[in-house]
Order: sequence, then C-alpha cells, then structure tokens
Amino acid sequence: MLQFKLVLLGDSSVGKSSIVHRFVKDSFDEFRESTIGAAFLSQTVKLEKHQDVTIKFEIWDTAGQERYKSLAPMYYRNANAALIVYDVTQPGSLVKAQSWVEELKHKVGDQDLVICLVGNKLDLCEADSSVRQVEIDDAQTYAQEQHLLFHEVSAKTGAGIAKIFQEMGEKVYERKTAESAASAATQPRKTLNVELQRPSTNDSTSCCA
Amino acid sequence: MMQTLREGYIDNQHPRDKATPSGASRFNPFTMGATQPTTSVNLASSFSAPPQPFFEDSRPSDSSVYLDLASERQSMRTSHRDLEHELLQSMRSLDLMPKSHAVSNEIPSIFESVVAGGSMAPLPQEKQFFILSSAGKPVYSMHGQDELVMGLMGIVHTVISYFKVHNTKMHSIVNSCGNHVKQKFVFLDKTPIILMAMSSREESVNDLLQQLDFLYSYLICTLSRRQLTRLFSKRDNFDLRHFLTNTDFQNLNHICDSISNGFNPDFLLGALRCLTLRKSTRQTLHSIMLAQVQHPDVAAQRNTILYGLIVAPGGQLCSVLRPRGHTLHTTDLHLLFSLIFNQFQGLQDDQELWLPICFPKFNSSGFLHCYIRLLAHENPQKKSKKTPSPEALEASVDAQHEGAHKLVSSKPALVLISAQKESFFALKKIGQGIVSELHNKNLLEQIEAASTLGFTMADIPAKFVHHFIYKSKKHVQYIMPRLDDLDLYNMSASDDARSTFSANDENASVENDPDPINNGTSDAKVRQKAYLYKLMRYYTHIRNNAMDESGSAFNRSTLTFVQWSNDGMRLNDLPQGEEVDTLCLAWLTPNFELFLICNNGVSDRNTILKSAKNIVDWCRKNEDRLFVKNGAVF
Amino acid sequence: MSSRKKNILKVIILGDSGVGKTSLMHRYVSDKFSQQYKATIGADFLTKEVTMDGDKVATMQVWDTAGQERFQSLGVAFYRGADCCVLVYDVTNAKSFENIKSWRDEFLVHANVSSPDSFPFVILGNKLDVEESKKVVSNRAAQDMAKSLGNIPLFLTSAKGSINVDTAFEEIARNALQQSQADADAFEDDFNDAINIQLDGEPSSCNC
Repeated sequence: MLQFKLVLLGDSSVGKSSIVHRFVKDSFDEFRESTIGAAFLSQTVKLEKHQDVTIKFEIWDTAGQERYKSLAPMYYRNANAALIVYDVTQPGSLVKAQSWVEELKHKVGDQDLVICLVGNKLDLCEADSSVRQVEIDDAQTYAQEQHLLFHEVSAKTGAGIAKIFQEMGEKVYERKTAESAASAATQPRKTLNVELQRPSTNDSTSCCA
Repeated sequence: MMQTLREGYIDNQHPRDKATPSGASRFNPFTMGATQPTTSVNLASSFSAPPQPFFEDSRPSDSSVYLDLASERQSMRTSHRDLEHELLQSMRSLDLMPKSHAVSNEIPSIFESVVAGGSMAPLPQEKQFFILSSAGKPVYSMHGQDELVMGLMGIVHTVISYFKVHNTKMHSIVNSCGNHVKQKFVFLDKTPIILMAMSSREESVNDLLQQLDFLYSYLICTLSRRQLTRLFSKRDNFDLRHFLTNTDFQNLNHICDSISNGFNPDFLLGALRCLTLRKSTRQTLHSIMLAQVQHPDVAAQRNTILYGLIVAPGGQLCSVLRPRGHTLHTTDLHLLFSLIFNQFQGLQDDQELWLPICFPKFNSSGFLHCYIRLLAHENPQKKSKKTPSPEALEASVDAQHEGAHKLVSSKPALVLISAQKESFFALKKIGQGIVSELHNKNLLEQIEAASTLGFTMADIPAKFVHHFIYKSKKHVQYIMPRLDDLDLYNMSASDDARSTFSANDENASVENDPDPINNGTSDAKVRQKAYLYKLMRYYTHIRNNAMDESGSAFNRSTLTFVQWSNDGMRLNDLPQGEEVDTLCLAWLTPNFELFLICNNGVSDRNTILKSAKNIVDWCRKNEDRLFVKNGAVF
Repeated sequence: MSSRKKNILKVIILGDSGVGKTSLMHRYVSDKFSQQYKATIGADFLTKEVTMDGDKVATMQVWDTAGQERFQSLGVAFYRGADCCVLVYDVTNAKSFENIKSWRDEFLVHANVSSPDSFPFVILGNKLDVEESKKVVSNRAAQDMAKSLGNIPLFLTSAKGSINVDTAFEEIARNALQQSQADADAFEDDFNDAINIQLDGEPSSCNC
C-alpha cells in the first residue's frame, strides 16, 4: 500500500486533533486536552476517483503552542501533505496559518508538498452567524493566490472532514504517479519519499554526521 | 532472621510538645499519646546490608530551619524583632484558617476535613500553593484566585527579600499559638522563580518543601532549567504565564490537587509504587524489552534508546529497561507518570505520542524525547466489567467534580526514552516489537488483572491491621494492600482467592467481580475519596511522628507507636461523634519503612508488633513479586 | 501568544517622603475597581485593572516602597523586574524636585534593567492644588528636567483635587505595557539542546 506522510499545523486550540480524530475514529470529544509534543496516527483512504487504490496516511498531529514551534520542521520536513488549520471564529488563527504557509513554501517548497488550508469550527457559525470572524471569501481568495486546497469544516459535526482527506489523497496520489512516470523516463529507480526511516540529521551523538 | 521484638524495646509514652494535629485547635478532644520515638536495639543489624540503591533518594538537600516566630524562645537578634513581628502579623492577617467539619468511615476521623454539600471541595484556607517570579509577578495559584494572589505578592516578596538580605538559611514561618501550630508557610527560592506553600495540616516543613520541589520540577520538566533561566535573564519583568500553556496550568492544578486532596504516598515517601506481579511474569516483561534492544538493528545504534518503562495505572511500575550503570530518579518518574495518567486519558490505543520532556533530576538543562503509547488488551468489552483501581475511581470523582467528561484510562502504558529528537521511528519499531510480544504472551491481561486486584490484607497474617504501606529503601519503591475493598464495599471473603497471592494464581479469574462503582451512587465515590484522604493524613501524621521537621528519622532505626483516643470526652464534641481509639505504628530502619494503621479499638501492642513483623517478613519473602529489582539491564 | 492571560505590569513609585505618593495611589484607585494590600513593611502594594486605548486591558501592580526608610535593604529588592518607574516630587518642595534625579539613578543602579536608556520613567509633580505663591518648582524647570533626563513624560497632578491623576497613570500603564512586551515574542529555538549521552560500552571511536 502506498504510504504518504501528512502533517497538521496551526495555532493552538483551532481543532487539529479533533479533525484527526474525526477522520481516524469518526468521533469527537468536546473536552480534548491540548496536544503536547506530537501524536502519530495512521489511517487508510480508499480513493473514489481512482478505483481499487487505497492509500495510507501517516499523520503527525503537532502541538500548536508557540513553545513547540522549533520542533515543527522535524514533522513537516519529509511530509507529502500538510493540513494547515485555522478557527473561523479567531482571525488571529488565520494569520498564524498564513505564516505556516510561508514557512512551508520557504523550507519545503510546494512542488513536493500538497497544502490544504482548513477553516474549522463551522458548527459555531451555523448556530450563530455573528461569531464568524473570518469570511469564507477572504480565506478562499488567499488559498487561490497561494495555490492551496481550501475547505471549511466542522470536526464536531464531521461536515467536510472526509472530503479533505479524500481530496488530499487524490492529489498526493496523482503527484506520485506523475512523478514516477517522469522519473521512470530519466531515473528509473528513484523512489518517492515514502520510506519510514528518516535520515538522521542534527544528531549530536552520531559520529559521522 | 529477625530478632524477636520485646515490649521493653518501646519507650513509655511522652506527651510531645511538637505540633498537634490541626484538628485539635477547636475541640482539642484527643489525648495525644504519641511516643517520643526511640529504639533501644539496632534493628538494622538484624538484616543483611543492602547493595547500592537502584534509585537515588529524591530528598532535596536544602536545609530546613524551623523558626517559630511566635515563640518567646527565639534567639534572633533584637534589631530584627519588630520586622519579624510585623512579618508574622502580616501572615496572620491573611485569615486563611479553616472552618470545617469531619467525615468518618471505619477508621475514625481525627483530622478536620471538609465535605461540603457531599463533595470534596478544595479548601483554600487549609492548603495553598503559589508560584511567582522573583520580581513578584504571579505565575500560578492553586486555587486560581488571582485577586488574592496579587494581594499576596507584596508580602511574599517581602519575606523572600528578608530571607535573602539576612542571608538566612531559614525558609519557613510557623504561626503557632502556644504548642499548637496553626499554619506553616514554606518558601522555596529557585530564582528566577519563588514557590510558597501554606498548610494548616500535620505536614512537616520538609513535606511542604518536597511538594514545592515537585511543583518546581514540573516547571522544569516542561521548560528545562536552561530555558527558564534564559527567559528571565533577558528580562527580570518576564511574565511566565504567557509562556506556559493551558495544559501546564491544568497539570499544575492536577498535581496540587493530588498532593492536597488525594491519596498519594508517592510524594510523602519519595518512592514509586510497584505493581505486584508474579516473578515469572515480571521476568518475561524484562526479557521482552531486553530482546528488542538487543536486536542487531537496534544494538548497532546503541544510543538510540536510553530507557524503557512499562507502567500500570496509578503510576505502578511493572518493568524497567535501563543501560548498565544508569537509573532514573524517582521524581522524574513521578512527573512522567503524572503526565501519562492525567494528561493522556483520552489517548487512543493506536495513537503514539512523541514528546520532549526535561527530566529535572536527570539533566535539567536539556530535553529527552519520550515515545508513549497506551497498551490496550484485545478484548475491550471485558474490561468494562472490572473494578476500577482506586486511583481511577478517584480520578473519576475528580472528573465528575470538574464537570469534565474525561475518559479515565485504566490501561498500562509503554514509555521509551531517547536523547535523540529524531529517533521516533526507531523507537516506534522497538515499541511495536514489545507490544506484539506482550499480546502474544497475554501479558497485558495479567498486568491489568494485577493492577486491579493487587493484594489484600487477607494475604498476610497480620492481625488487627487495617492497612499498611511498606517502602523498600533499596528499591525506592513502596507497596500497599489494595484500597477499594477496605470496608467500603461488602466484598466477599473470596477476595483473596483472586489476588496475586492466591494459591492458584494462574489466570486469576476476574469474571465474577462485583461492580461497586457502576452500581454505587456518587455518594459512595465521595465517601471513597474522603476515606482515602483521611488515610493519607493518618500516614502523614504517623510518618512525621517518627521524623523531625527536616525529614530525618530521630534514630537510625525507629519504632514508634502513635495512639489517638478520646478518653473522657463527650461524643458530641468529636467529629462525627465517634469513639476514637486508634493505634498506628511507624517502623523505620535503614532497609525499609513500615507504616501501619490498626483497626479502631485495638490496643494490644504485642499483637501489633507481631503483625508488623509478619508484614516485614512477608514483604521480604515476596520481594520478587512486590518490587522491580534490577530491571532489564543492557 | 498561546496563553490569553492578562498582562501584569509592575510599577515602582519613588520620591521623597511627604510628596504624596500614597495619596496619589489612593486617589487613583478610589473610584474604580481596585484592591489594596497594606503590607505594613517593605512596600505598600496596590493592584488595579487598567484599560488603555479602549481595548488593551492589564493589571497594574503599584509598589510603593513607603517603609523603605526603615528597611532600606529590603527596598531595593523590589525594584527588580519593574515595567515602569514613577518619580514623584512636590511642587512646593524644591528639595524633593532636586532629588528626582538621584531617585532615578538609585532605581537604575538596583533594578538591573537591560537597557537603562530606554527604560520608561514618568515624572509626577504633585500638589498642584496649592495656591500659586507656595509653588517653588516652576513648570519650566520641571519640563527642562524631564527633557534632560531623556524626554521623560511629565504630569502635574493633584491627588487632593484629582487633577491629571488618571491621565498620568494611563500614561504609566501604556509605557509599562510597552516595556513588558518588548521582545516578548523572541523565544529561541529550545529543543536543540540535545543531551549528549554516551552509554557505557560505547565504542570511543568509530570506523568511518
């Protein structure tokens, strides 16, 4: 089975873990504790567009707090896909999301990475439209300018969650098949970044670093 | 073999002019029959000398000077008298004294305690923890009353400055009336952080210092000493609250609550609780972990893994994997377990965590990285029928109290620790190997059964003993009989047939377990919590009767009886109107510490001594089952 | 910032005795929510919620080292970690005005501030309510002094007549907030302090 690495980034309390749990367990916990460090999960997706293809996402759900920011490169460095989450009721969280987009484009480059911008907590706006602080058009326009996928979702109700992963799955799969085809012409044995073992860098205890 | 104890070894009772329990302030109904602890025989010589301890003792080395500012006997220089007087006045003016009632179960309540409206509400007047910066900016307050904290900053800062300016080693103020201690204020100066504890309970200055040290260790665990220093070195006016997260405040709340209102001998004893397992089971756990690190792929990268731990709910140690010559400090493990069993309650079984943790006693300037996963056994339906551990029960009462819908984890956890932040996938692979072996050999069921059942008083021929705690100093671990069947539920006498020590403990059946929790009312939970809290205060009191304020035993070996009785008092003067005649024993030697509480009304000291001796014999005989000895060493 | 806790601003109020530091504080807190704690020694201590520029809310801790003549050695310990220092003189007392500079110097010596040149001070000339004939410090002299000490904001106040007190403290709070937030976001990369562990039996050299 093809495996792809996916990383979730975004400000604290925007609902990254809730999105993952809706996707992986189809469950929601109102009182979820904030993540510290990072959590690793995996889930398979059967691609609707490409019948008979099932891919596996290996997901890094990272802590949103500023304090853990310096650990983030470790999680996104070899990622195939990034889900950048903001809270539609918190304008500051979109600013934060945009800085993640910048950082990823700068450090990873979007030719290797499928990025999806996700506005979470849509359920709050449905209950009371006045709590919305980020207009869908503004976020959408930004996403188009930056060539990002874009969705508004609710981890609480589940609305839109499956679609994100379906779409990201298709994109990473299509990129991989395209790249394989391209590299088959030039470099037949090149593999995409799907192996588990990462190169060990920045490792103070290994001698030949 | 142990020398036979004779009654003559025990000194006659002397009234002590040390602190009486705080509960005595208003009623003063109890005759304090505590003996001045002495021993006339070196009990230690009866036992073989222990090898080097596996864990270091966690006692901080800070000296503690007991200063009674109210005392006329104080020998401070007169030039400071008016300042000291005013300091004390200021502290007294805080008016944090308790107004309280009492609860009772089967051992009498001799400590005032509050059960307001049927819930164990924290009592700000009785116990407080504050953390502030050296510049006087608040960082944390146990009861979260920011206004109160802000108002206190001036006085706390003044006291600390006073200690500093006068370069005194003292760091506590005891507010007392005659011989009765009303409150103790203890300060721990860890510039750029200052911590303060206030207690009107029977805790010693040293107990409070240990508690402050643990709170401080939590901050270091999440920040590292190096980072903390760096944050303040740039600016004295740094507001640490902005750097800490909500999770940190929740964890601090939990730690404070656990110290103040829970049954948690970990801090009191400075030791880890160990899960009782059959010798072969524990050996298998060790070998499974060892086999994984000795796998050629892993062994080739020798520095990948540092430590491995399997730990059962409530922080009960099952197995330790460690490099030869290296150990982890008890405080560090308490911090880790506290995170695992408080923070990760909702963790999914197949979710793996990777977190940076600074282990303050291991190395306070950097982070280690922990791979953590919960170990679920394969039949989740069956689990729901089992009796939750007392810790889980306590946590569920908390959860109810806070209105949080937390899932209480009763799953053991696997922790693998590395110094390399990029080694997650290497540790994940080791973890996978360990987990599949645990499944293959059905060990998770055994761990779960052991953590639920433990052993009971019925396993030991110890007449009249209600409950005990035994700490092996060599292993820095302690054990105690399970708590959940202590008279609270009408469990049948067949309990012992299901414990680890039953004659046929192979696959001990848990199918017929009564389910007192789901059938019980929330009232039962509150009673359980109140009971555990009371038990904790008994143990604190017993222990402090055998030790001085700085936490050292009066003698190398000490055997102390403590007795509470209400002779000649009218029943309605007593909390809960109970007859009180309770005998407790503290027995400290270089090899072990034993604390036991007798059933109410027992006064036959010879029998109790015999029971104590039986307990010690039993613990020594079953050492392999009760303690993690060397662990798996690679 | 991940934590939404309100800012706490530590403000030290200094000046000769009798210039009205305590009355200024009392005037300031009298009509709005506030809390005061009389420590009896060392420092009087007051906290007050302040709102600046309409939306910025902070809690101001004002430390009045009233008792410090008696406990000189404790007094200076309070200076550390201040976000703003308020220097008060009495417009009817020339000596108290001349001492402003030495109070400032004393503060800087003991407060251990990272950049003394930019540390926020505010000068208050108090007792503005007295009749003109009793005023011995001219506005001009005060302005010159404030300018020479590095363009320190100057307010002429009256605790008794409630003149300019709120305005002055709002300026104090604003300056303090600026100081407290300086570099607040400049957290360094903190997980790269790898602990170098060499296990026993580790080969001391490698063959590469």
